[in-house]
Amino acid sequence: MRIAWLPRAGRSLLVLIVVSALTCQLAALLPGDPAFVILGDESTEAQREALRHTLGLDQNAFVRFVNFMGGVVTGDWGTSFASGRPVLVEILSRVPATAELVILSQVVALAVAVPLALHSARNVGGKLDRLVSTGTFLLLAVPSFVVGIITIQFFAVQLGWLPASGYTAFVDDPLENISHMVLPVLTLGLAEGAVYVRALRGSAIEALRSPYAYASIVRGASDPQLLWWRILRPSSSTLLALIGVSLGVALGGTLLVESLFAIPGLGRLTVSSLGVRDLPMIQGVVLFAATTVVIFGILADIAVSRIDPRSKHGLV
Amino acid sequence: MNRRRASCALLAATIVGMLTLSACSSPTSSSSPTVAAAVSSGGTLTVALDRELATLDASTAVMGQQPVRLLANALYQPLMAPAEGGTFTPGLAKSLESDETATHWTLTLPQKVTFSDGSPLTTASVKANVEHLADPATKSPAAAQAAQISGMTITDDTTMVFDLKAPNADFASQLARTLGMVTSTTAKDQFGFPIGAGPYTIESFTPGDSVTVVRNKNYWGEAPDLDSITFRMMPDADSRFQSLKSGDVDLIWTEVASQFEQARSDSALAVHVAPAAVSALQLNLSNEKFADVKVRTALAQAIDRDAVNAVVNLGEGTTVDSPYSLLADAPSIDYPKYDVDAAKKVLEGAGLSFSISADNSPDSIQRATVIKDMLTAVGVDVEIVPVDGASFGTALAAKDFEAAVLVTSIFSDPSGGALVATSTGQYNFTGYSNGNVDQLLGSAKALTNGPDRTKLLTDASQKLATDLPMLWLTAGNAGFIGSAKVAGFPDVSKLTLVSVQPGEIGWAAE
Repeated sequence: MRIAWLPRAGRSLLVLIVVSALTCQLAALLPGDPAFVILGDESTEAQREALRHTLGLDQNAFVRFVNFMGGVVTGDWGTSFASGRPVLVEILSRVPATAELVILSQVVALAVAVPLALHSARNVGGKLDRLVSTGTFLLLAVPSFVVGIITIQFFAVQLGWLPASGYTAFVDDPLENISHMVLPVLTLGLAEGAVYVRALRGSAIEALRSPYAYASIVRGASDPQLLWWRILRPSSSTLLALIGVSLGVALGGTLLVESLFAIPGLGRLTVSSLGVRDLPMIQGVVLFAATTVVIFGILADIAVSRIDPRSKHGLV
Repeated sequence: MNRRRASCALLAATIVGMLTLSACSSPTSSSSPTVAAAVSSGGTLTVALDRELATLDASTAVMGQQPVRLLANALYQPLMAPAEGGTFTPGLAKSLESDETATHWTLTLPQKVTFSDGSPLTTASVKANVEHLADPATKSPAAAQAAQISGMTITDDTTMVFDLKAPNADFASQLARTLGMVTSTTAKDQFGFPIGAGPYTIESFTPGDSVTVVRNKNYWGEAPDLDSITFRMMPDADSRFQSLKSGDVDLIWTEVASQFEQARSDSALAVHVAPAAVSALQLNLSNEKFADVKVRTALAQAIDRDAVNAVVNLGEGTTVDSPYSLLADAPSIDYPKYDVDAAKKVLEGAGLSFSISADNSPDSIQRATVIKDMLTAVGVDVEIVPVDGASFGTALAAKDFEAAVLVTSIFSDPSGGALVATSTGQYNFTGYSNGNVDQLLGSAKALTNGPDRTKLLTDASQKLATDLPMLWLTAGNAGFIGSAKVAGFPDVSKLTLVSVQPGEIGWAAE
């Protein structure tokens, strides 16, 4: 078992090294000059040249890659051009807001998606199924920022029930934190939920056609017993893989939702770093995002193999 | 069994949580319009900024930008402050006077000015701060301004003289920006930023999220009215406006014309704006497509600036025809009038095609699209090239464009004209070079404001309107929309740089 995971771990490490190498090419690939952004357009070329040297931008990509990887290994991810603070410190300071947003939205997505998908699958073509299909297609078709703007207009501006934007850390004020998170979590969670409904419904329909499902029905199992005890587990492989990918990608930053609701997470850090060509910070957030994708991909694989042992042998 | 219970509990917790939150949340405050006759003492104001701040160091580029001036003024009250029509008045300084050559400037500070830690702010502090900004290790955009100073002579604690390498009648404007934000070179606050002498000090700072400032207990001037101001960083323009309407924030910075329009029809809101963002179409004169002045004139005749203002600024701004259009003594010149027939005579069938680079903000793209439509109507084939903000400046400086829409606040004072129109101007992206204009603007730089200077600027403007290295467009509104209950807000409509001292504003007295 452990040996089987070694190649996967090796491939993951290779992915991270390749991603790091590519991000070290950013200085050459990205249009725009960080020295120009920092010093402004009234600066002279001599001033900008001196700053490029100070920032190490005149080094070649290989030297920058070696320096960056050496730093990563020792816990020094570099220093932000914009703030002058350590990149890793900046990234970790943004993780709580993004992690809270992503985890809560996954909870909402699953809370909505699982019951709807299972009951839709049990009544294919029925009223609930048609309603769920229409709703999920609508949510999939409408971009999340549009859903966000609508929820802000309705719940914050019209009804005044919830704040339109902003963030308060849970440790500072739990109630404020929750009230600020409701709308962004709904915005992100409903969009994720729509994807999960589509994935789980399909798997559940297939599972309901299996002999063991017929056997359960013949033995008199009620719908809840059938769906939650017999169908959910074998239908969950695709869903778990999707959750793994979604968690990994989302923890790398939920750009639009964080910008719309003014949540100081990794997504906004990425956007603002790109805007000012803060190359060390961009390298850092890209590596962090790649790491989360790799880790959650592995965790999803482990989870799938646990609930469906056939996957270990390539039977599904 | 456990799994089932967990699933049910999850669903129930979600539903109960939603209901509880709805019940606990407070309703929107429905404020009625208030005439802000007097400012009450105390209270907190929440302001939404349009960008993220990773640092509050006064020496950085971001703290000198117009949308952040309210915060910068709170912490680092600059020596000078913008006044009506592109003029400047003392801010922290008591006075700033030039000799006849505009080369030696005498700065006088008030008595007993202190930094926020109570230590004295003297002319030695000003000198040390300029040297700090000039140091390449500081990496400040103000280094270019500091580099024009050849020497600083201190007379006493409150009087000093700046000796400039060359005459500069607009030196006062630079002391209203980063160069004039005096910070201590020896003391820092708990966040590691050099302390200033503004009416507020930093209480909390979360990079990328918010800053809260509280009254500076050692403020040397009149104490500010508000107890504290919270600045929230909200880059999304729609989100800022919705937050204002829902009462989450009290004041927002915006440059979106439709928001000004909506706010003017809402009695709960007040608009505080000035036409501070000037736009012009830069033509790269090294490109042979623009070599013929007849072509440039025809392009100018094809652009209906009133229509641009009506579409892009929703009529909120004004048209401009020179770098000095916003100033109190704006020159009166002959700029090519909108004349489609005249433009067609030159351009129709000539096969002229070029690209217009524009930064990828919605209003810039819209502006470029309107121009494209107007030029298409006279037979010019135009392609729009959106460029992200950070690359746009680099592309302009490298002259890596054919035509480009520049939107800027550098024309807020007379120095802006020389930056774009002289052969060596830092903002001369067009490659325009005219000895006569260089001479006129060079002479104007050595004259303090007066009829002679106005005459020189008018002559230079007329020359620019004839040579047309850039086609002038409009000045769009920029500024604040706030709750009508915010009082003490100065009339900024005559300013060319929206810079408000937050010590003056507060909540309207009941």
